[in-house]
Amino acid sequence: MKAECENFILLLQEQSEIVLDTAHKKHLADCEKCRRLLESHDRSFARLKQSLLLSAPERERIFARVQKTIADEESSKSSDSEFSLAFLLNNWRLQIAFTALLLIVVTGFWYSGKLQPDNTLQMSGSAVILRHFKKITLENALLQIEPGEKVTLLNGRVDLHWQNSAKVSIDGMLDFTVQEKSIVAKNGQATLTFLPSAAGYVITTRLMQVKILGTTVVLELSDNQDAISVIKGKVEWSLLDGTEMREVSAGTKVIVVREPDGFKVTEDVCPKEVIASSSNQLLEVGAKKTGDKWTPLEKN
Amino acid sequence: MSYRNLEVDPEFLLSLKRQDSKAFETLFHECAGLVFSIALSLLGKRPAAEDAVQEIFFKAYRALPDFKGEKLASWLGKIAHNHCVDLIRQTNREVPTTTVPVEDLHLHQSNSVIDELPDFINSLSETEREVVILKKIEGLSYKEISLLTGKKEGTLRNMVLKCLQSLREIVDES
Repeated sequence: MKAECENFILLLQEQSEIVLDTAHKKHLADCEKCRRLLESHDRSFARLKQSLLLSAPERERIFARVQKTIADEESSKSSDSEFSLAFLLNNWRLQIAFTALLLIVVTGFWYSGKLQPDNTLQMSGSAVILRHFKKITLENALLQIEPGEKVTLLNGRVDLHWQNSAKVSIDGMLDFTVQEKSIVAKNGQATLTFLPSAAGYVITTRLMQVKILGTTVVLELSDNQDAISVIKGKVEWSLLDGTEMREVSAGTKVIVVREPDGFKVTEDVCPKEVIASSSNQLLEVGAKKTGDKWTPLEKN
Repeated sequence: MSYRNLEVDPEFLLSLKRQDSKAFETLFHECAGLVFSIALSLLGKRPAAEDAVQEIFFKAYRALPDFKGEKLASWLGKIAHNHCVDLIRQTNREVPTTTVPVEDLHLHQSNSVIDELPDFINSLSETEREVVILKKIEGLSYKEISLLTGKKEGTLRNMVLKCLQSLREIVDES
């Protein structure tokens, strides 16, 4: 085979659509074998191309089958979960297990619902209170309190209820707000008795914070002085600014005085029982007493 | 070829990755010819090739979210090539007397003859037929065919050359 013929075959090898340059055209004009090869090449591949054609209906038919396969797979995916459930329900052992599991889950939800803390705050007792600037006489009726609502106990005793049970009794005169697990006391003097279930509750005054560890305390709050007398049990006492903290046992009175250069904290002894007349000694804080009646001080 | 235009359209490629039905339909209509060529060259019979095209496009549809944005022709061609090679492998397993590894198919005369095709094509092995068709009919470059079939470009050139020499022999004899 001549070199030109080999070059021509290489041209056919490299190109899909044959483009002849001048040299190849000249060679073809001279070489009958290559001319015939090119004719055969073009004819054969044209026929081959024709044989490989997919007609439009054939394409449509195949595409419809592809679409159906995809749709079948997607619907089988979505029915997989239904199939699993059907399988479960057709097997009696699994049915029993499934029912038991369902019962456990339902019971769990019910039980957790029972245990769910009831955050309702209520007040009861025999007392006169100021609420929304209205005087209300409590006669052992339950009164709903909004968390954070300001209440002034003018006289008597109230029981604060959290989670449908009484936790704290306040006896005396006290200006306070109630939050879940906490009492913010502003003014007044009162004896606060916490039931054991109220351990962990916190009393906050303007100057100090007292964490109840199961106790009865007497609070005496005035403009520049807060005092707490621990009658029973003990409390975890701290200054509100966090600079001092200590545990205070029964029979101890902690007095915090606000002075120009800071707080002055002193400790004193106190009786381990509530003195009946103690609430009468601090009258001019938040309310004033005329005879046996309390009247609120004017609001700022 | 039209699928080459699709390859440069990033919006189309994104739609494909999202398995958008319109984009997938476009892909099918533009590339069905290429896939059918591969299937028919390797499988030898139109009905088998048509079934394979359906299965290949279904496989491609499922693989679309993982499409890395490479050349569509190479990606789809590779799926088609591997699918058909698997089918041949299965057929060979079903006929115990056939022990030829698929990789060596091109060394042997094809068992499948495409009725409508010229003799010079039918005289080639399945792999040679595939390579010749991809080069001369589908117009892929040797590099693209190499990516698709996993064969070296030199080997591919020799296959096409073998086909042309066979054609020359026929011409010389006539």
